Amino acid sequence: MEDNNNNLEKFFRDKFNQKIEPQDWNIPDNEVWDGIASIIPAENKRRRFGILPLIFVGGLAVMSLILGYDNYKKGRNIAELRQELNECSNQTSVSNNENNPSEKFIGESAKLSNNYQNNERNLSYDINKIVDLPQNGPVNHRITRKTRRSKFNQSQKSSSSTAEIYTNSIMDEKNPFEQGTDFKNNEFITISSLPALPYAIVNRPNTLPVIDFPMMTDYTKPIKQSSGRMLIGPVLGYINWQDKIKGSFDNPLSELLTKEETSPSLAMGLAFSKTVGSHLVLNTGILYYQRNQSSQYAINLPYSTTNEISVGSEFENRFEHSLPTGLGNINTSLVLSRSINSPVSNNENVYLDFSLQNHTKALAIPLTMSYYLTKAGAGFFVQGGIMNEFIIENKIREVNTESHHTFVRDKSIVVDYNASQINKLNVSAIVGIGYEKEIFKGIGVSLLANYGFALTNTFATPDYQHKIDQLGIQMMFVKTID
Amino acid sequence: MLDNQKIKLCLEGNRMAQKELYEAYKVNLNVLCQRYFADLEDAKDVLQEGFVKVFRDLHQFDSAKGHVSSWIKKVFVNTCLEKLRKKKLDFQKIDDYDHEIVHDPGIISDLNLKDLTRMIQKLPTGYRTVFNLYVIEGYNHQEIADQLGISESTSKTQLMKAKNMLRLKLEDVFK
Repeated sequence: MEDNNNNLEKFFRDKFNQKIEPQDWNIPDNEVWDGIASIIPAENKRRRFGILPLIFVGGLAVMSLILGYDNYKKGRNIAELRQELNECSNQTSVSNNENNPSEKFIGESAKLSNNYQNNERNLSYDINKIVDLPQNGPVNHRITRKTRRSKFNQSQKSSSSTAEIYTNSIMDEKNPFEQGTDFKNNEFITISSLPALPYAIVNRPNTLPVIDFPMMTDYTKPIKQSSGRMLIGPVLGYINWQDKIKGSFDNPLSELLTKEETSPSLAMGLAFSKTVGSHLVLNTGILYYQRNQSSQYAINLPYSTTNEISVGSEFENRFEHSLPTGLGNINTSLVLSRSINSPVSNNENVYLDFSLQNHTKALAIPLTMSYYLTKAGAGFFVQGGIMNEFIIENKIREVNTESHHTFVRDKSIVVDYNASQINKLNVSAIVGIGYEKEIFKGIGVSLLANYGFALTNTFATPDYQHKIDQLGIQMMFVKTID
Repeated sequence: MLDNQKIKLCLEGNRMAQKELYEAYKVNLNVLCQRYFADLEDAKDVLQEGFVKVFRDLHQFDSAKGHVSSWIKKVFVNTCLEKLRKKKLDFQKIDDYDHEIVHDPGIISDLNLKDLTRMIQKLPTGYRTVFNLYVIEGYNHQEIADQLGISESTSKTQLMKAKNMLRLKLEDVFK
């Protein structure tokens, strides 16, 4: 009687406490989930990738705004300078009709010079022509070299000033230097920098040059590019990995790969850059990072009571599997056991959850080219190239099993892993956008967001291929080393 | 298996993770609800209500205290009991069954889960509830008494009668 009671209880307990196979009668209607989904809170996507990327993106946006405004201001200053130059040109022409144009011209020239100095721009420019003005009168035409020299000689005679200005080209005349003219006595000086101009003019009492200012663009040589500039600096990165699995995994033991994902990594390293053109910079470096890749399987094993091994008060069944992971096949030796008296029928299904984690250390060497929209080494840039990833260490850790059967438990599991089957070199095509700004003299900061399309599989069999794309954010501090 | 990462995603409201949790446990929990309620509509209501509670209270789950499946099951049992309380379950007015039938457990092992569930569903509510709590959920009589607001002796009596009734039903099946 007592035994019957216990048997009945045990029978019901065991039947209802194991994983129940889905059948028509026990699968809930779809409307149950619909009802649940309509009640439970909706997804908050902003939190999916954590707060770190948001900080990076937010910082990038704020810095872009600040630096963009800074550049806008500089651009406006240049535009203002151009306008001033044009105005000066016009005023100089107008001043030809004034009684004493020299003072006004000197003032404008000094103003121009100051503006240039204030902007600290090393603008080289040529004066197309300087024509001596009569001491008190307008200039209505360009004078010949002969006349000019005559007037110049007069001014030499009438003044003890030593500074003279002249240019080596006159629009409608041949270059006097080419004609072998003896300028020694005339002491012609070619000026190439504007700041010297007012001094020269101020120290020339009797004659004033008239400068016909063309547009600024004609005068301004391109800003000297730092072609060949080498930079080096530390780089910090955050990489979000995107696992891409193709193909299927079919196994007579019905292992089902339910999930494979790689957790985000922090990367650090050194970046090297070399300016190879006015807008182009070649980048390389070395990055070190670790990543964890978890694989989860749902396993359904037919438990054989005819092939059991008796071990003490238990029966054991051993199962050998080969399972694919993102970094290669693993061989597992699983031991399932049950107590001798447990009511398990032959080939009864045992459902197991199995998970493991691959831990990888890698070095990555990027080779990319950046194109800067304004000039190399400053402002926004786009980047493209390749990323070579070298796996330097890979190991499996955190192996977990869980049996859903009431009587059959997962006693032990041994994982055998062959690291040599991993593809040691993975190549990705990288594209990205970024912004670089000099924050101190010779030291710049660069923010970069990039995406790497995996070109090679981390692991592949004829029926199964695994790639890992990457979405990265990097911050670099670079210092000019030559 | 629901790992911590998946639980975290559920807590963040990730719909895919929530659906995955639902899919993983829906069958077992649907059977659990059917064990407590003879009316399938009631069982369906409790199933939905239970999952809503699971997602709502998942932050209370402490992985150090046990597996999430045990916690979820407990939530569902409590939900079933709440629903039963609302239905004004009166354990003292349940018909008495004094049959004492001895049955060979080897024969009943051939019964499938659906048959067993239907058999439990046909028990009077009080019998069914105590039987479920004691035999399948593993509560002791003191805990059952506390949960249902009855005395321990009532719980024991109800259990005994439930088992007797099940034996009677099993006898009918194998006649």
